[in-house]
Order: sequence, then structure tokens, then C-alpha cells
Amino acid sequence: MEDLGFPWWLRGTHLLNIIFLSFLIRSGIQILASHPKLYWNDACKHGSEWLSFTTKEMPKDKLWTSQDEEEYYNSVVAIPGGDSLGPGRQWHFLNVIGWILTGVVYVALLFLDWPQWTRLVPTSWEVIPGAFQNFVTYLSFQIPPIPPGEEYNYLQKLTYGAVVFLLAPFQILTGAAMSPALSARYPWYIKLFGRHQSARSLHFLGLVAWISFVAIHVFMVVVHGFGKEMAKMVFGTEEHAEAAIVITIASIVALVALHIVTTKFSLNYPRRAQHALLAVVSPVRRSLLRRVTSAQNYDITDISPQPRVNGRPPAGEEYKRMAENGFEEYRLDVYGLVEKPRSFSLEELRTFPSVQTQRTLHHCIQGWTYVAEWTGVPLHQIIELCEPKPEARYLVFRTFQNVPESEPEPKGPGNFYGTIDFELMNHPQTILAYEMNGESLPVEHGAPIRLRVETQLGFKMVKWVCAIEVVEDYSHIGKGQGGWREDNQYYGTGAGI
Amino acid sequence: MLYFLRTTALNLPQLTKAAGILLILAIGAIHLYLAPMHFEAATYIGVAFVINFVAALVAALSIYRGAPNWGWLLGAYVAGGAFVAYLVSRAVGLAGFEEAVGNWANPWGSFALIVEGLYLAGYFSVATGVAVAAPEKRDWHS
Repeated sequence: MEDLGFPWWLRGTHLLNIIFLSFLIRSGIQILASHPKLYWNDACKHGSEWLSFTTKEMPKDKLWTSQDEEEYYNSVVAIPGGDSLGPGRQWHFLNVIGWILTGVVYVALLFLDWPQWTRLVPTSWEVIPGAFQNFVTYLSFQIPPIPPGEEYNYLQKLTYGAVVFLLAPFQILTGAAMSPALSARYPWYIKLFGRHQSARSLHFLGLVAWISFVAIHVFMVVVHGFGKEMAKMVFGTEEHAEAAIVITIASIVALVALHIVTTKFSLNYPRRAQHALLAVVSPVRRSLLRRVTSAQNYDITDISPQPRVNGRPPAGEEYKRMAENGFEEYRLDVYGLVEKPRSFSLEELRTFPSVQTQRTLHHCIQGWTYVAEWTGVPLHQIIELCEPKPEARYLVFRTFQNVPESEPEPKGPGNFYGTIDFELMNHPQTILAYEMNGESLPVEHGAPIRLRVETQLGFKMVKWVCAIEVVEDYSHIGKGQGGWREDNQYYGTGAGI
Repeated sequence: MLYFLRTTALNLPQLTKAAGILLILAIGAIHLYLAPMHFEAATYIGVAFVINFVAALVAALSIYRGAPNWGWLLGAYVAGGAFVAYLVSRAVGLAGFEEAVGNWANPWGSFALIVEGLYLAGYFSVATGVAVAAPEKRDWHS
């Protein structure tokens, strides 16, 4: 039997795996902090969580929003820590890309470098009783023997094989299942995991499994002989154990330093970090999810009874007055790079020739969801009436919400706004909604008009819309990042996942 | 750790209850299985193993019935007592059972320690309010 050894590619991908996994765990915790509750139901009804990591209790006597439920975790466990969902997501996606590429290279070489695959894939049923016997041997505080022609004992072989071929794909698949674009286009895929929130819970349990595996793995490396085992991973042989220990310790110090530097960079230079991370993440996300369109039509029985809200309604007098009058004075202005600027009343929108109703799953960027029925006008029809000029590329949605006025702890200045491009505008389920669940849009959900773009995360679906500006470029608007949350919370403009 | 305990809340009462019952039954079953050979070594240890089994059964039944919560506490005494007694028997020795001193290479003993440790962790989570056990359910404010 050929000695499989520890080839260079195996050692290299193992090192990369450690780096990417360490960032994935910290950035995953950062994302979880923005909604530290896990559910098995997509309605996410308050109180139905099966696990939570917060002591916050929501008030019974006044309006609260999902922002009040956020936790701010320390940078020791989360990257970059604190109130940093946007950067945390970008760190997560950057490392997802690197980790998946590493995994693809590893698995490819495992099968190309024949017969390396036999180190992880059992070739005999003997492995099962052998692994049990190994377990008993460990319980006797002894090291099980390595069978001839193998690099690991049977229990190791089964465990490593399960991690590479089961746990890693499981994390990728459950992570992808949280994408609003994928769940909008392929509802059956999400149902493989139950629903969206089941996928989120399973993704978390996968994280627990990873952390458990790493803890036991490191412990067993020490038990088996730290120097000898590290020499295999550093040099590919059991020789030079002392040098391997020194290199391992130096590598751990370097990894910790890398985490500290990237964390400080993200906290001290959030805009530069946003641009640097998105330079990698955005093209990948765009190429995978951009053209995915929504084909959702949930059953009426799926509609969530008490959908959450994110963001408090506008507090301005003009809006309050309009709301009291049933928005009779409301006008939706469409202007900018159009041949025919128009102004629509709510009644004109309600009596528009095309009416579209859709029951869809709303995905908040924080992680919670709900199903609702939306009725409104296809957005592209409104814009086409105004005859956009050839250079027009983006729609900027202006709102009544002055954030510092409405939010007790505003995360930025000015009025909320958001942008989408013409491609999203033309998606079949992109509408300007004026009804929710068969009734006029409630104030807390964006009355009188909100945007629905069903392949995107909730923050792109601007509420309390008062005007649409058609532009060629959004760099001169706000802080130039393409939306209020992109400007002030460092989100990416792409929101397909 | 304290922050983690303070902020974590597990709301799976049925699963928590089932886990508690399975673990305490496993502890009792292991001790019942090992009782005959321990009767030969020292009668009082064999008797203690049978008592462990009976107490584990009572604890499991009480946990199953849900209230009062002394079932979890009884189970903690059963698991904790066995855990400590095993460590003492290997580290210091028990009267009439001195041959066990230093004999850590005992798969059943190690396995029992793991199961007992898991039960104690479960009991700790219930006692500190991290987890709730049926029929209790968290009453979140909404």
C-alpha cells in the first residue's frame, strides 16, 4: 500500500482553511449579533425563538423595531465588533469566497493526486467497527493504532471525511439558502431545509459543529503528540518536530495579528474597508445573483400574523398630517433624467391599469423574515410613462423619513433614501406597493407607498416613498454609496444575499 | 462565560426534557450493567450501583412528569455522586476497592464520565435558567 504522506497542497489548503474559518466564525457571530435569535418558523413571531443570545426585553407599551433587538458583541468574538453588520457581512462573504475556492482546490487535488482520496473515503466496511474500536481505545486513554496503508485511524478517517464531504457542503448549502434571490427564484431549494429560518438555525448548528470539531481536533493533535503532528502539517514528515512547533506558534501569532489588524482597520477606516471588501465581494455576488428573478407565490395561509418592522415611521409634521387624512394630498413625484416628469396621486396609483399582487418572503438583512401579500403597480410601468432618457441608469427613492427625527438613536444624518438600477426595476415582481395583506399599507410598513424588489434584502425596499429621481450616477447623492444604509452603515449596494 | 450564561436562553422544553431523561437513564443503565462485577469487588459498591440505577429511574420519571423539579436535582446527585466517586476511586481509592487506583484505562468509566458530565451540564443550564424544561415555557414580552 502506497504511503499517502502529507503532500504540499494538503498542507497549504489546511493553512488557508484555518485562516478562512477563523474569519468566518467571527464574522458569522457579527451577523448573528444584529438579530441574536433563532427560529424554526419564517414568521419569526416575537417569543417563538428557540434560542436567543440577548437579555433585551421589548417594551409592551410603545412601538419597538428590530433595531432595538440588536446586540453589540465585543471585537474579541466578532469582526469588527460593535454595531457593524455591514462590515461583518462583507468579511463573511469575502472569506466564504476564499474558503469555497480552497475547498474546491482541496477536493479536486484529493482526487487528481491519485490515490489521495482514499485517506478520507472509506474503501471497506471494516471502517465502521474499526472506528468504534478506536473510540473505545480513546476512552481507555490510549492512542489507537493506524492501520497499514492509512494515514489516520478509522475514527479520524470517518470524522475528517464527514467534515469535508458533509459538514462543509452543509454550511455552504444552508448559507446559500438564506439568500433572498435564491429563495425568490427557487422556493423548492429553501424547502429542502424546511424554510428560510430553518436554514438559518441549521447554519448556526453547523457553526457549533465546526467549533466543536476544531476544539476536539486540536485537543487530539496535542494528545497524539503536538510536535510530531505539527511536523506532518508543516514539513510533510514526522521529523523536525521542534522546528514545526516554533513555526506553528509563529503562525498562530501571525494569525492573531492578522485578525487584530483587519479588525482595527475595519473599525478605524470603515469606508476604506467597505470599498476594499466590496471590490471582491460585489462582482462575485453580482455575477451569481444579479439575473435571478423572483417567482414567489406563497400560499395565503403562509402569511405571517405579526410581521416585524425595521425603522420608525417619519416623525415630520407634513407626513403626520397626510397620514391623518388618509394620504389624500400625497403625490409621488418622478423627475430627473426623464422626458416627462410626472406626479401621481395615491388614487392614480391605486387605479392604475396594471395591478399586481404577490405573496412573498421578506428577508431583513438582520436575519428575520415574514411572509406578506403585497399589491401595487409594476415599477417599470410608472417609469416608462415618464420616458427615461437614454443615459438614465438608476432610480433614487426619496422618502419622508428624516432619520434623526424619527429614530431615538440614529445611525446617520439626513433623509432615508435608496437606489436600484434599471435591471432590478424590470424584474417581474418589482412593484410600488400600496397594500399589504389586502389592506392599505400600514404606516409602520411604509405607507402610503413602498418599494418591493423581491430578490433583495429588506433595506433595499424603501418605505415611505415620496419621490423617485432618475439618475445616471448616484455618487453625488448623500455620501455617494447608493443608499442611506450604504452611506451610514457601510452596507453593499448588492443585496441578493 | 458569565456574559454567555446571562444572555443565552434555550427555549426547547421538550428536547431539554428528553435529553435529561435519556442521559440519566443511560447513567443508571451503565451502573446496573456494571453492578454484578462490583458486587464481587466490594459489596457496598455493588449496592451503590443498584441504588444509582433506582435513583436514576426515579429521577427520569420525575423529569418526565415535569413537576416538581426535584427530578433534575435528584439526577444531579446521581450523576454528580457517580462522577466524584469514580474520580476518588481512581485517584485516592475506596475501601475494599484499592485495585482501582490508577486504573484510568477503563472505557466504561470514561464513557460514564462523559454522560454524567453532559447530564450535569444539562442540569446546570436548567438550574441557571439558560434552558427551560417542559412543561415550562419561556414567557417573552412582546
